[in-house]
Amino acid sequence: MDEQYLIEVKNLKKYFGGGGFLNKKPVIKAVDDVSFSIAKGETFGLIGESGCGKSTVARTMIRLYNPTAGSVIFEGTDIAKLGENELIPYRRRIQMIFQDPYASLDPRMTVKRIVSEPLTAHDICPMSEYEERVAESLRMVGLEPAHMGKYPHEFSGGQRQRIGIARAIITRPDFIICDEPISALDVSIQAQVVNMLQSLQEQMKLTYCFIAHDLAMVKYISKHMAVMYVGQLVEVSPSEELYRTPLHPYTIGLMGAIPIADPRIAQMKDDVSIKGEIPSPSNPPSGCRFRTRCPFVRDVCKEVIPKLKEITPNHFVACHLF
Amino acid sequence: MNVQPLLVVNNLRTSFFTFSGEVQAVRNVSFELVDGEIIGIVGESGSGKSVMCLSVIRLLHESGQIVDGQILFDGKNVLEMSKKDLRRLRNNQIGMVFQEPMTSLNPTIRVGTQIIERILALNKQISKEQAREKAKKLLEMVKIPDAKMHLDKYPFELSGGMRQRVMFAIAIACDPRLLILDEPTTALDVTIQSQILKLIRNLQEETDASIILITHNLGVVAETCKRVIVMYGGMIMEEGLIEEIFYETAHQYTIGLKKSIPDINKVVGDRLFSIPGSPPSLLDPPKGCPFYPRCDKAMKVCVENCPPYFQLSPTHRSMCWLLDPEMPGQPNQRGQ
Amino acid sequence: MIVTQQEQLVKDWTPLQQEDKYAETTTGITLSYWQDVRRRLFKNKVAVASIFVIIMIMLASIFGPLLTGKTYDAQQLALRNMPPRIEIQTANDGTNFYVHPDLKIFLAEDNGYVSEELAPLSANLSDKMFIFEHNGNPYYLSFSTDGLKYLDENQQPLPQRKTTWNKNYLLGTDSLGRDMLTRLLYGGRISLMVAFIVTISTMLIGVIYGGISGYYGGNTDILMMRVVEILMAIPSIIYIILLMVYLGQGVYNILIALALTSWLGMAQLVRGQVLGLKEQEFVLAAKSAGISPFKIILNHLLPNSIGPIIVSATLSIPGAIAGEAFMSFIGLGVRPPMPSWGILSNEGINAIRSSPYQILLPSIAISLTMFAFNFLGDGLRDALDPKLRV
Repeated sequence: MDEQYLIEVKNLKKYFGGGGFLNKKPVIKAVDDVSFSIAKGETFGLIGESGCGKSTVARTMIRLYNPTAGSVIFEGTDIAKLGENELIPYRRRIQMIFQDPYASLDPRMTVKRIVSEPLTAHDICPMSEYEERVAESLRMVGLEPAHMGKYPHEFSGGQRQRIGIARAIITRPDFIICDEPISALDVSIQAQVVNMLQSLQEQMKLTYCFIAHDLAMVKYISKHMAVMYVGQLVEVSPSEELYRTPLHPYTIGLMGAIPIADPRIAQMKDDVSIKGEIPSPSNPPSGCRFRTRCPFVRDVCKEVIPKLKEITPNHFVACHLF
Repeated sequence: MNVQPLLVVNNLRTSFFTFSGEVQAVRNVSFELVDGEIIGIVGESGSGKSVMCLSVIRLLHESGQIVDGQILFDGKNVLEMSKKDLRRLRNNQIGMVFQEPMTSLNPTIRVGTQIIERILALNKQISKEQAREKAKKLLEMVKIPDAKMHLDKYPFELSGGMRQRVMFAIAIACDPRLLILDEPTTALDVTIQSQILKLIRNLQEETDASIILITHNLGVVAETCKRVIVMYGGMIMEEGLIEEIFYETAHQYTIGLKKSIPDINKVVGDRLFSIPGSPPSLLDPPKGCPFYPRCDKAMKVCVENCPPYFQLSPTHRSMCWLLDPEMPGQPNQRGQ
Repeated sequence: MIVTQQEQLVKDWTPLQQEDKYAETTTGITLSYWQDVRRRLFKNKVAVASIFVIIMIMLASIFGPLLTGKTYDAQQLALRNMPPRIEIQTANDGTNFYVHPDLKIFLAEDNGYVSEELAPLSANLSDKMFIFEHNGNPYYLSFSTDGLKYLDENQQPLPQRKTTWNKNYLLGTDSLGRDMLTRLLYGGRISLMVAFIVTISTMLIGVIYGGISGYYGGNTDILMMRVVEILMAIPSIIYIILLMVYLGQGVYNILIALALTSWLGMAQLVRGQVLGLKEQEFVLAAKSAGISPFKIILNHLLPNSIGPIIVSATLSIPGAIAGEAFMSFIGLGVRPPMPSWGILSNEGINAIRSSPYQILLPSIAISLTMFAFNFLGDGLRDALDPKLRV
C-alpha cells in the first residue's frame, strides 16, 4: 500500500438483483472490477455516460451500498469490510455531494437543520455550538448565515447546491465524493460552484473524487482521470495526457462528440459520432463491452475482456489494440 | 422560397399570475423566423425561452397569460385564432419535441401505435396499413435501425436516445412547417446527443422545415444553428447570425456565457471565469437592463433605463448601453 | 450627463459600484410548508364548511348533554314516542289539549308545553270512545277506524289547532320516553371518541409497522407485508364481530376491536411512501453522514409522508363511525342504555312507520358527520399535495 494514497479502490464489484423469493431478477453488473487510487489533496475525475456505473462506484465507496466484492482502502483500512458501527468514525471523514439540488435537501427542514445534521451523528461539538458552525460553513460557501432559517424551496438551484456543500464540509472531512454536482445547474452557475469547490480544497486540504459526464469540466478540475463504460474502466490517465493523447476508441469518440462552442471548428469537424446505443448493464456484450460500437473491433474483442495495461507512465488503457 | 416570414412575434409579454404575484416570464420579445432556417434560442433557467415558445403555440399553464403582443404564423394572428384553427395549427403545422422523452410517450402503448394514432388523427382518409407503412418510413427517417421491429416495442424497451428519435418521428409526421425543440438533448448522454444533433441537421435538409432549437448549451447551438437569440431575464439580449454571435459578440452576458465554458485547452489551476450573482427574480424584475446586477461594465444609466436595441448589422442587434454611439470615451465594446 | 434632442432621456454613464449591484436574493414571499397548506385548504370552501360542521358537532357533543337539563337514560313513559313537532288543540274556553297517540290526553300551555295528564272519566268501548271532562266541559276521544279524533261536547273537532315545536323534549322522545336530543348529543360523544381514538391508534400502529417494513426492505418487508395481506383477505367486519362476541358489549371494547383492525391500510400506505422516499438523495445524504436508521425514519421519512398519512387517517374516520354504528345496530357494540348513533338507529328502525323521526335523527347525524370528514379529507389531500388534484 502506498503511503501517498488517501483512498485505494481495488477490484471493486457491485452487482444488483439476482436474489428474490420466487422470481429471480436479472443480475445487473453495475460495477465490474474497478480499481484506481487517489492521492491526498488531489482531485480524481471519473467520467462516463448513463449506465456506466460511476454513481454506483461513488455510493459503494461511501458504503451506501455494500460492495459485492473488492476493497476500498481508506488510509490503510479496508472500509468495505467494516460493520455499520465501526464505520461511523469514517463517515465523519468521508462525505458526499449529490447531483440533484432539488432532491438532496429535505424540503421539510430549515437550512440550519440540514447543514447541522451531520454534526448530530458524531460527537463533534455540543448542540449550543451548532448555529455557529452552520454560520461558518455557510459563509465558506458564499451564503449569508442569516438565511439559515429558510427552507430549501426559497433558494435557487445553485444556492441549494452550495447548501449541500456546506453540509458536506461541516464535519471537516478529508475526502469528498462529488457525484455530478454541477450537471443540474445552469452554465454560468456551474463555473461558480466549481471555483468554490477548488478554493475549499485549497483552504481545507480536501481530496475530491469528481464524477461527471462533462469531459471538459472534469478535465479542468482533476489531475487524474478515469473513463468508465458499462461498469468497467477503459482508460486511466493524468488529465492533460488524456486530452492530448486519448488512446481508447471510446475516449476518442467521447471527445469527438462534445459540441464545440465555435462555429467554424464545429463545421469543419469530421463526423466521428459513435454509432449505436449504450448497452444495458444487465446484458453487457461478451468480451470488450465497447465492441458493439467500436470502429476498430476485431475477433479477439468478442472473446477476451481487455485488462488495463500501462502504455505510458501512469496512462492505462483496456483495449486489445495495445 | 416565401419572402413573408413564417413566424412573427411582436412585443410579446407573457406572465404567470401566482399567489406570490405576477411572474413576468417574457417581457417584450420580438423576433422573426423565415422558412427553412434553424434558429437557436440560448438562455438559462428563468430566461423565458421555453415560455416564449409555449406562448407561440398557446400551450401555457392555466395561470399563464399572454398579456400583450402579437404572434403571426404564416400571416395569421395566432392570438385570435379559434379553438379549431389553433388545434389545426398545433397538429398540422407545428411539431414539438420536449426534453424528457419518457414522459412525452405513453408508457402503456406501443411506440408504433402512438405514431399511427398521430398519423390517423391528421388524415382520416388513409387506412391502417397505409398508416403503419408511413410510421415505418418515419422511423427510418429518424434513423432508427430495423424500423419494422421497433414499431412493436414499448417505450420502456427503448433507450433515451431512441425514445427521443421516436418523438422526432411523431413531430414530423404531419410534415410541419415549424419544429419547436425544447432542450431535446439536455437529458441525453454526450455521444447520443451528437447523434441527435446530426439527425436535426439532416431533418432540416430533408423536410425544409424551420426549426427553433432551445438550449442552454452554446456548443449545441454552434453545431446546428444559423441564427441565434440569446435570452436573459425574459428579454432578448442579443440576436444575430452564428458567426456574429460567436466572433463579434456584442453583449456582456453572451461574453460571460462563452467564457464560462471550460476551454479544454485550459490548464488546471487557472480560475474558471464565472458570471457572479444569479438570474433576476421575475416577480420583481429590475427596471433597467435585466443583466446589470451581474455586469462588470454596468453604468448608472443601466439601472434606471432599459436599453434599446442597437443594430450592429442588418442581422445583428444587441440590447446594451455600451453600444450607444453617445457613450463617451472608448469605442463600442465588441468582439472577444 | 447628456440630454438628447429626440428622447428626453438623461443618460448617466458613470460606472456602477459593486455595492449597488447584485445581492444574493431569494425568491418571493416566505411561506413555510404548513402555512402554504393552510392557505390552500382555506381556499376550498367545502373543506372550510366541513371544518366548521365538525367543530359544531364536537362542541355540541361535549357540552350539549350538560345543557339540555335532561339525562340520556331518564324515562318518562307517559310521554314516550312524542315527536319534535306536536299538535295542540284549543277548546273554546282556551284550554289547550295534547292528544297522545297512546290514547291519552294531556293539558298544555299556550306555548305548547305539555303539563299534566287528564284522566278519562269513562270509556265507551262499543262506540270506541273515551270520555273526558275538564272545567265542566265534556270531551270525547274517538278511536274508531276513521282515525283518532278529539271532539268537544257537540261532537265537533276543537276550533283551534296549531302545530308547534315540542317544548318538553326538543327533539322528541324515544319509545321509553327518553329525551332524543340528549341521547343524540351523547351519542355524538361516542362516535367522535371512536373516530379519534381509532384514528390515533391506526396512525400509531400503521405508521410504525409500515415504516419499519418500508425502511428495512428485503425479506423483512416481504414477510411483514404478507402478514398484512393475509389479514386483509378477510373483511374486517368479521374480525370486529368475532372480537366483540368475545369481549362483550361496551364502549371500550368496541374501541379496542376497531383499533385492532383498522391499521392495515395505513401500514401499506406508509410502507409505500417510505419505499419511495428511501432512495431520495436527501435520505442518502443523511445515511452517508452516519445518521442512525431510527433518526432517519423519524426526522426525514415520516415528516415527508405526513401528507398522505393525514389524508388517509381523516378519510378513515367515516368508516370507523359507520363501523361502530353498525356494530351497535346489530347489538354487538355499545351497551344500552348508553346511546350511540348506532343504538339509536337500532331502536328507531322499529318505529319507522309511526315515529320516523326516531331513525331520521341518528341517520342525519351519522351522514352529516361522515360527509364532513370526507370533504375535509378531500380538501386536505388537495391542500397537502396539489399535484394530485384532478
